[in-house]
Formats: sequence, C-alpha cells, structure tokens
Amino acid sequence: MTDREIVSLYHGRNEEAILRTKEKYEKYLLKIAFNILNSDPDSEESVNDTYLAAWNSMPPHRPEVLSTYLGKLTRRISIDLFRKKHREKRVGSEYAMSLSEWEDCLAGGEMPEETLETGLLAEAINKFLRSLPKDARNLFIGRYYYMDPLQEVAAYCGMSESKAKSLLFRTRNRLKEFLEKEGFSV
Amino acid sequence: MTSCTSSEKIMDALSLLDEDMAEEVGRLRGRRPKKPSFMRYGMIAAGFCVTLLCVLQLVPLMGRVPEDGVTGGGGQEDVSLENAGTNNSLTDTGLGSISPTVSESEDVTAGNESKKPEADEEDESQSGETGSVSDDEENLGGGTEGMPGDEPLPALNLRIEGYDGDTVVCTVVGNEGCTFYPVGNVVVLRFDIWEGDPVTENTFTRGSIYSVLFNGGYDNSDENTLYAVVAYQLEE
Repeated sequence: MTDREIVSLYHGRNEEAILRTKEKYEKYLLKIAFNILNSDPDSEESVNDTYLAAWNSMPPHRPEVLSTYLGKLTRRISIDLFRKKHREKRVGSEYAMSLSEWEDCLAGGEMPEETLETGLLAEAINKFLRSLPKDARNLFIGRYYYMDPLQEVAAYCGMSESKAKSLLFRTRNRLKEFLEKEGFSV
Repeated sequence: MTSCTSSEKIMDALSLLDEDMAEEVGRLRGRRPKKPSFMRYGMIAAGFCVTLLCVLQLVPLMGRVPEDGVTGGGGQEDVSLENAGTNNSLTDTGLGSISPTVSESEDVTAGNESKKPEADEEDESQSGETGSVSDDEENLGGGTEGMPGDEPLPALNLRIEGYDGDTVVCTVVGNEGCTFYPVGNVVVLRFDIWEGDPVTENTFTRGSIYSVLFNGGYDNSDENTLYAVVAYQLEE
C-alpha cells in the first residue's frame, strides 16, 4: 500500500490505517526509538504512542512522505520519554551519546527555558545544514536527527568511521560558530 | 539576543528539521552500506600489479653476482644512481677527449668480465664479445703504475658523499686489488652510460658503501676520476 493510500485511510478515520502503518513502518520506527531509548519495551511504547499521535494529527496533516513524518513523531515522543524516564541519570543510548558529544562543544550551563526560542533555533540550524556539503549534512542528520550509531551512519554515508568522527567534530564546531553569528549564545 | 542553549535544546531544535533533508538521509538509511568504489579496487589492483612487476624484474637480477668476488648487496638490484639520466654525456667531463671506446653492449653487467683486461692477454687492445677497449697508456693522464688494468679488477669500496647531478663524489674506504686509489682519497665516480645501461635506472644514497666495478675503458680514469660500469651496494 502506498503512503498516499495510508494517509487517505487516516483521513477517512479508518483504523486499518494504523495496521498498515505498523506493517510498513514498525521496524523503521522501532529503530529510531531504540537509538534514543536503548530499551525494547520503551521503544515499543514510544512507537505505539507514535501511531496514536499519527491518528490524532491526520487530519488535518497530510504528509507527502509518511515515513519522514512518522519518524519525526517517533523521535519527539522518544526524546520526551527518555527525559521522563531518565531525568536523573543517562543511560548508554545513542541519544545520550549524542548529548555528550554536544556538551564537548557547547557551554555546559543551562539557559532558562523560557528564553529559548526553539523555532528560531531550528530555523538557524536548517539554514546551517543547507549550507553544508551533502556528505557532511547527511552525516550530521544521520547522527543527530536519526541518532544512528557512528559506525552505522559512517557506513551508509560511504566513509570511514574515523573520517565521520572528525567531520562531525568539525561540523559541530562550525554550527556553534554559526549560531553565535546568528545571535544565539552557545 | 536569543538566549540558548544546551545540547538538549539543539536536539529539540533538530526535531524541526526540514523534512526534505531528513527524507534524503532516510533514503540513505534504507540502503545497504556503500561498497568500496571501483576506483578503490582499481588502485588496489594497480598496486598489486606494480609490486608483481617489480618482483619479476628483480628475480633474474638477484643471481647476478659478479664472479670476481665482489660481494654484498646480493646483486644489481641494490645499485642505484640518482638522476643517472643526466650523467649520460662523457664529452663534457672536462677531462679532455674522453670518448669511451667500449662499444655498446646490450648487457652491461655481463660485459664487465669481457671488458676486464685479461692478465695473460698479450694483445693490449681488448676486443671481446661486447666490444673493444683501447688500452692506450698515453690516455691514462698520469703514471701508469698501479693504474686500473695493472691491478686485478675490481674492486673499490666507496662511500657515497654526494651527487651533483652529474657525478657521484665518493671516498675510497677499501681498495683491495686496486692500490691506485688509496683509502681516504676522494674520487669522482662517473658512469660510462649509454642507452640501456642498467646503472641509469638506479639511485645512489649518501653514506652508502658501494663496491665499484671499473669500466673496461679504464684508460679514461685517473686517480681522481673513476669510470665505473656498475656499483654494488654493500651496506646502507
């Protein structure tokens, strides 16, 4: 079944939409969730919440690429779940690893949440990513959006692990400089 | 100024990544990892071929140790002459009319023996299979006593001091069988090079010790200049 047909099922409030989504994307979504949560039960919980979120958001949404849309939902839900479950301690998930990589680059201090404009920050990051060479951009997104392990992301980007590591390091520093130029204090 | 940020905020902001960029990577994730490119395989294959060619070229040379007792180095594969291609003119040596009379030989190494004057040979004009060597004493440019030709050939052991692009400057560190060149003397080593001479393909290394075989045309040599056909590296 095509994405368009599945989306139509959602819009028709047909519960088969969830079954078809599960059939087609469960593995993909579990992978994203596991990268963040490092736990099978938590990943399943997160993916189930994703189906619910998809059911609640379509309509009005009508995503062009269903996989990307669902992946984004899973990512957000998994991060929330991670924070909820591991507020005190971090476990060895790829999300935790990603956070620690960023902490090497960014100032450690937390800024007041109310001052953060996530939307503006996201806009700046999107602008920065578009300015990157394709290899560096894909690597960055693979590592910090999908949170795939370094070895895996290096493999599907067609480079060695050590090259990927150094490229990510340079990209993080460039992003930091970019954000500073854009008026964010990092 | 917008205040931010912690690593978590960056990760939150990434949740709002433009979908087309996420989609592009999503497609990559679905593929199998890239295999090494054709170029990479090609380079590996080329490296293998070059190594194989080198080995094949060296194998026949390894057995070619001169019969006159020059040892070390295992054969001609150790001989090297840096920029030897620049050393192929014997007419501009400043030594007068140096025109080696050794006729061109296809196999210079093999020719060493035939160019070497036979002690018992009465006919001083050497003519062997590989060419004729004039042994005219008038061309020796100095006393003849102890000159190459009066001594059993070879060999001199020379330490390479430098190479000026034309000649190799050496210090004599051993002169067994050839007292004409005292130990400690600095001599200029020249090569009687013509097309096909294997010496031209090699490179000398400063500080290395070479055992030198004289050119059959030793009539062009004097105590400061030495014409050699081949030099065998003894040690680094």
